[in-house]
Amino acid sequence: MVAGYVLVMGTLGIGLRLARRSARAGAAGTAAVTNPGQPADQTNPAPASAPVATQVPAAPTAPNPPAGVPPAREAHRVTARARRRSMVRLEPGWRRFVIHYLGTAVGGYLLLMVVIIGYYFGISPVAGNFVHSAFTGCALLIGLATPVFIALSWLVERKGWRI
Amino acid sequence: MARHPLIGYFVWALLFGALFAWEGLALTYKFADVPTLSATFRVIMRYPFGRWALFALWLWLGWHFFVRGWHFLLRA
Repeated sequence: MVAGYVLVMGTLGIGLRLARRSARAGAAGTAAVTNPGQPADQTNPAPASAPVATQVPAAPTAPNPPAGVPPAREAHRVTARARRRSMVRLEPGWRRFVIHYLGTAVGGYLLLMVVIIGYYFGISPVAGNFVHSAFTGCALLIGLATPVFIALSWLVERKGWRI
Repeated sequence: MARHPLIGYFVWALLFGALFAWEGLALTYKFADVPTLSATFRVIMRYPFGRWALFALWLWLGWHFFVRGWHFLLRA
């Protein structure tokens, strides 16, 4: 029960923190559009006929570069990051699906084993074959659920099933 | 079956009641900027560690309720 409680509360806590952070980032992005010193709810629309002489081409910099970093260096860093991300991200398809699923299943399994071993050796050595049962039982569950999940995914994606 | 003090069950009921009450509030008053449970899970699942944690939770629930202490029917 304690392991479950730690997992539930930890996961929900992380989720709430991330949700609040992304909401704050969204608000900051909205505020960045406005002029400094102007209230956030009053944005300036682009002038319909701005004088040609005052137009300055905007440098392709990253949004909100950190202070002290030259813009060119920051732009280079952003493009390198984008290139790396595009190399890592696979095209949508079965290969990506299998990699995503395996990553989640193996990562989750290992995380649970770490929590269970930590609980068993650090907090309370539960009687019986607790650790052995956790290793084999969770592997059994993954083994049972994987074909069902793949079959349902195939039915939804290829046969238009609605679940 | 082990007997536990009533307060222990009461605390669990209170925790789950609070969870469902929070979800109900989030669904009812959407303008109050309270994230629903599904919105929270969606944010968690954006990140690999969040997916691992949720999968571990799902695995733990399944193992705890369906596998642990289970015996094959015909085993002597």
